[in-house]
Amino acid sequence: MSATTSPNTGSTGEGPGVTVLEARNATRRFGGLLAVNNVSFSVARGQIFGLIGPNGAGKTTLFNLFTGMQSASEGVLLHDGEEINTLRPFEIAERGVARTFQNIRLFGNMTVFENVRTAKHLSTSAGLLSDVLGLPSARRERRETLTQSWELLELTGLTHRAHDDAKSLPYGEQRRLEIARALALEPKVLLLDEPAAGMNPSEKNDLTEFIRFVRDRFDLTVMLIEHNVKLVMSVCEQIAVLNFGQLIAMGAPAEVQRDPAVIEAYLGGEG
Amino acid sequence: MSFVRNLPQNFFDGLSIGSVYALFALGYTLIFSILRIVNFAHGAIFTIGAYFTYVLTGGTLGGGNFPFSNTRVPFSLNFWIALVLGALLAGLVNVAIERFAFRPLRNRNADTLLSLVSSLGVSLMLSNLIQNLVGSDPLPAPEPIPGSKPSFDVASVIIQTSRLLTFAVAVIVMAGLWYLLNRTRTGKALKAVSEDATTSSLLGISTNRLILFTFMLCGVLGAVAGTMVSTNFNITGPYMGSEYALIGLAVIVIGGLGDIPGAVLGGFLLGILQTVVSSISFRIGFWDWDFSGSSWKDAVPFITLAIVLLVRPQGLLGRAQIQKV
Amino acid sequence: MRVPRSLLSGLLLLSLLVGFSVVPGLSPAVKVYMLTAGALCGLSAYLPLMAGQLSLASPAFYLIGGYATGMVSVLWVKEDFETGYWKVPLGFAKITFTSELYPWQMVVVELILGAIVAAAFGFVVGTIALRLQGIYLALVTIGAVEILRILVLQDQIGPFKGPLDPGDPERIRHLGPFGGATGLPGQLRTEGMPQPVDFEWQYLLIAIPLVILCAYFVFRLERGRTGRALAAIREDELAASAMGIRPKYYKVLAFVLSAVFASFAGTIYAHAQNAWSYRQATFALATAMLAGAVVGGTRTFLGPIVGGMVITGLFEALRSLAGVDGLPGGLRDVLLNISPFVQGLIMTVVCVFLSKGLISARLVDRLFPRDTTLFRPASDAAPEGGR
Repeated sequence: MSATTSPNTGSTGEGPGVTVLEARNATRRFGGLLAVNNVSFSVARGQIFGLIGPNGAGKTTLFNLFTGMQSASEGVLLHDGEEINTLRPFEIAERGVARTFQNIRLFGNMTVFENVRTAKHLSTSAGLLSDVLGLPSARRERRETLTQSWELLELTGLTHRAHDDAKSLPYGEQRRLEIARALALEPKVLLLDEPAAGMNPSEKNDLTEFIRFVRDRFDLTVMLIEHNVKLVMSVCEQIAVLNFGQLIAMGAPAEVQRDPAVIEAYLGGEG
Repeated sequence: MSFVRNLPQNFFDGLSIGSVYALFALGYTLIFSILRIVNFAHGAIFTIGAYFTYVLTGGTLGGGNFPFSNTRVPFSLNFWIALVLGALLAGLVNVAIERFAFRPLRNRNADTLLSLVSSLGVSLMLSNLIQNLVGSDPLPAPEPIPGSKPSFDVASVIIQTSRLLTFAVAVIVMAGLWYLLNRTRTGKALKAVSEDATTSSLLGISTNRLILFTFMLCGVLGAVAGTMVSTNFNITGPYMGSEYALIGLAVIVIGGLGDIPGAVLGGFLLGILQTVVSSISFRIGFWDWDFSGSSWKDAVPFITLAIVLLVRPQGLLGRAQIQKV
Repeated sequence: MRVPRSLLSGLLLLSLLVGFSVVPGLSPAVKVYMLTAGALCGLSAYLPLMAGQLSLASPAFYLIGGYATGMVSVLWVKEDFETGYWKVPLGFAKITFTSELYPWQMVVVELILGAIVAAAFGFVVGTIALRLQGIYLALVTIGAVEILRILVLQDQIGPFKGPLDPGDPERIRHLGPFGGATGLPGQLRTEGMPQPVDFEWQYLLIAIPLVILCAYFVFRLERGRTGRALAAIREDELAASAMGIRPKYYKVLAFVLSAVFASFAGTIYAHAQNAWSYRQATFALATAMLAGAVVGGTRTFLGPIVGGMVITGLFEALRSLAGVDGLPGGLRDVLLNISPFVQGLIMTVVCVFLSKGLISARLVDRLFPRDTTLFRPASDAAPEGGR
């Protein structure tokens, strides 16, 4: 298969957008294994960008590189044109990049509502003392946090679950809670790692609309990893295909679908 | 300098105590390697082992108003037979601990914090039980080889017979353990599980029986260590194991948690370091200060631990763990 | 399941409290006083647990609190033997308290000084232990206690020799910077620690407000932004950091607060103990503090408070039962010595059968309702298109 993809400089087929996220020759090794191998691409502001590929293609690793959970062995990762290679996860979050996790990582013993409220951490500033003393600023902040948290639950349709423990939710609702929690950060960039996994068909349909809806409502750039080809093709404006850690194709959904290398990777992988 | 002159002596004494540390720590590390938990009751097993051997050799228990005060068993076994039987009994106690304090928690997949607290509780119960049954009087240690010379000189080094025997027993038991782990079916299974729990469960290794076997084995290791220590320093009371419980933990973390050669290395390292540091003493005339290393002896394991963790968090021989995101 | 559980814990609590209150040999004031110290110890063990950190360092901070008390009240503040007044030399001035009782204001100073030193030590231990979890962390914290114990035991640390030993006729021997093995006041004051009260019950005037204050502090903390951050770290550190929570900051904060509470416990205990030495900080104390937190329940502040009281109450109850006249010697010995066994039994039984502890988070939520229902949107009909 042809694995040589020229470094993309950020201009996409669908009108010029400012580059928000960019990988330049990003590489990540685990021992002798190249999980991500010399990958370069960029995501424009306001885009819904899909990252697809067979299992073990390095998609989640790429997310981890962007969110500071793993560090790149080589190459550069940029957010808003600034290098973010050495930033730690909370610094990435402070820059307005939020993510969900493939293997759901909710705060299981906290209620649904507390999960969302906890993620309002960055948009609040009450320190220990103002919390304990109940200063006016902390009280005002609390009112805002509560209102916004309820809004997010309403948006994700979890209001009726607000006081249940997060771990007691069915799979599909846990996925939605992950998204609600990420949105609570008031991010500018949202990274969704397999948001549809475990959802039933009707939930998946809703998800397509929902992703567009939050993008427009919160003025987001969305990057998502997804196995469900139908969902990716219908929601994404730009798609990058990874295989064995390498970028094998990139472009609009229709182009990518026709790409021989992609067909080879998918059919070869399954056959 | 006296420090250099005493070095061979300290080295020998350190080897002897280090061999006990290693033997004892192996009991921690084997359980950790298969269950990922620490059996805090291991120190109590150490104590119980020493008491069992003492009782089986026909020793009289301490005075006072306790139920078994001033009593002794109506027979007296040879030290070596008593050592083996006592160790096996201690192993059974360890099996009971696994059955009642660990398995219920494992079955419901509880937080590891709970198993830590639960085994701490068992450790308190066991030591205190001894105290309430036989009192806390120190007891004279049984003599491994009756009538042997207490010590002899080799060059400038005074070799105490009990220390030499301790070293020899520890090395023999460790060699036996090595044989068990590398040459027998059960041992190989144990080693396989300790190295990779998921793969071995796929291979169909019966885990519950293996866990019981491991607790038995670890009980034996702890009890032998306890008995050999008692032949050097007597049975100092029902809490003689608590100091070793902490040192043993330091040993396995220094060597690398769950790493078998690491525990041996860590044990010898700490034993030698501790004896050497104890012998250091110097004077700073400016402050009119006599520094004596022996008062810092008990801090050596923890200071070593802190340094090792700062330099090599996974321990000397441990492998770095990759966290899965 | 919930009813028998709460019934069980309620009965257990009630029987312990009744048992404790009827035991002879201790005045009610002393009983309550010990319970307050137990509650503070429980809180101290609880704070690191809030962030999922198992710390056994609390006895070190407890030791610091007690030594702060001893050094202020014995080495710094001096009694004027003619008037019986208390003098505080400040270098540039000398404050005299015109009372024959040890001034309570100085107890407050002890509390604050102890808290500052303990917080600094907690900061250091917390920072060293940052990367560690579980058993590694527990071990390093045990080590911290051990090292501090050995430090205060020294006869001399560098140039510091401590006060002269009054028992030495040649006036050349020093006691060590912290009073050495005998501790404080050691040979320095035959009457022991100076007492700030005439009657035992007056201790409660300091201890009870202090405990209520600390409990309120932890309660507010738990319900606030800091508490949620700590809980998030306990649940999933990586996910928490992806939400912008700085794990290191909060872990160290938890350690520092834990240190402050333990130091408070040390200060209020030291006066009642009449003396303080390195023997106060033992591994057994660390396990007792941890047991208090786990037995009471580690999900909400009330658990460790109740648990700390239960464990302390249990020890004292057994000890004072042994003091009853006319007991056979064997039974008395057992009563005097059995408390570790009972503590161990409770620890194991709670872990195996009652893993959430005596006080559940739900109970506290019922007692002190959360504010989450505020601002809840009136209509339950969420826009379905939103999904």
